[in-house]
Amino acid sequence: MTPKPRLLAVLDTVCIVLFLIAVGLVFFYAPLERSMGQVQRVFYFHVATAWVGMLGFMVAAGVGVVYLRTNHSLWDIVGLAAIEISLVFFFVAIVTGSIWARPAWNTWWTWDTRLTTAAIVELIYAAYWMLRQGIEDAEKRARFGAVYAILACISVPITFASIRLLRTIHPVVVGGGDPNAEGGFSMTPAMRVTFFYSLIVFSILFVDMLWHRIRLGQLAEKVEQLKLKLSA
Amino acid sequence: MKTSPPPINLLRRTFQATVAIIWKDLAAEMRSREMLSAMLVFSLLVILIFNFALELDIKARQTVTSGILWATFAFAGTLGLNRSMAIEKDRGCMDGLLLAPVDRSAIYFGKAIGNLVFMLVVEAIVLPVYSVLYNINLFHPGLLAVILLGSLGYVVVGTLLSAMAVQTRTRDVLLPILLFPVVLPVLISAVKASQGFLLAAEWTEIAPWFNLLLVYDVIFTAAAFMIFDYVVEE
Amino acid sequence: MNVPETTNYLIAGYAVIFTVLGIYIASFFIRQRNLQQDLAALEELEKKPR
Repeated sequence: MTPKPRLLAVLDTVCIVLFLIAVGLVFFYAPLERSMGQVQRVFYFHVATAWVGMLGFMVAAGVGVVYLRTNHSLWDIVGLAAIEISLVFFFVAIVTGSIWARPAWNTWWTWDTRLTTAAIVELIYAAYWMLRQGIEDAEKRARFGAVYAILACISVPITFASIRLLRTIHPVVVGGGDPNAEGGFSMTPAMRVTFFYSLIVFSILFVDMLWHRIRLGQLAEKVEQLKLKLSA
Repeated sequence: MKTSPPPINLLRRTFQATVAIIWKDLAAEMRSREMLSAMLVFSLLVILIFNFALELDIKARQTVTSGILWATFAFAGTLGLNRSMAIEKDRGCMDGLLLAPVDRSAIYFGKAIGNLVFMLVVEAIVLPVYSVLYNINLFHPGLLAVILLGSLGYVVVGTLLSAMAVQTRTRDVLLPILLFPVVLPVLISAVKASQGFLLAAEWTEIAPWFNLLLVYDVIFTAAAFMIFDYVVEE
Repeated sequence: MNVPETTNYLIAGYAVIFTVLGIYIASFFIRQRNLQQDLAALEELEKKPR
């Protein structure tokens, strides 16, 4: 593995510092919300991780198109990295959403638009991973991964629209989609600051982790190529 | 200097190739009828299971029928899609098709339309059987249109994904995993639109679902057509 | 109005966040080390006369 680039080392430090500040904001700066109590603080990181979860397939579809046109394996590595990271972050988002929902709306799960779409996207990520697992040939794996990422990316907005259409006609009684409107809390300025700051920090965290994961992928590719060469 | 054939010739050749592929599949199936019988029996079994799984009184049946039908079609559909591609791969037909001097899109459209025909045949048999078993009239033109559009959307994406799935280690098992999350809008829209027609709802209520189905079909037919080359290249 | 006591859920939520992210980041280090070991072993093999 090539030694860690200076910029990445700097980014790592920046991330850690920003993250710690975010935690500080969430626990000490953001005010206590009266209708839900302390659990409302989960919301800040819940939305931030969900946001990162959404980035995955968009990035993967984009680099998927580039891969199909250029056949350069780096793009495949980026796509896989993006989806893997988003798989983890979306999982966190879904679980924290569930933990938040329980005391807030007395249910572990609501079939509202966002949560349902999140579950579907998570399944798509899992399917992507299973698709790759089942293919030996690296080039075919990259190609199929790109194809599926593109198809999935096209379908997710349509899925979101159809589920939302479903919900407007049959409104969900318990729980809602928009965490700002539902559950009845509006954000004070301090909350807003914490919220947007968390979003920004997690976006930077995504970039940092993506870079690391890409480097890992490149190392893995080198190992695999060497294995193939030696077994030839 | 070699000039490329005029576009109209290319189009005609592609069209002929497409028809040839459809015909090949239909003729092969007519002889053995393996796939159709499997899909049919499976569908009827699924309906049977639903009968016991959901104790339906007459009122409940009205609302739930569309869901049961589409769940059945979705599952039976995977059987057909898997089989259709597996045949090509196992008998080496795929390689032969790829070597032929035709546009790859002919292969895609040929397989997709073939799959659509099989799915429609199964649906054409399941509908009257369901009607009789549950005493519901399912021969509403709107409903038939929804079934056509829904099956089309399903098959358009399914053919592409089955072409990929058949080339993996896990094969058959992988197709539903890949397909269902992506084809969900079709299922949602088809169920709601079917339900609308069966309950004799206003067109304004059904229209959004019908349109969503159309939009999906158009977008994905275009996307699949453009992407298919990458799935079968060697 | 009484503020509901939901601190436990808060702790649970952040426990999940830190644990999962922590494990995932740890996996980067573990995978890197494993791959580097593999690479070293393979390069050794490559050097050997065939």
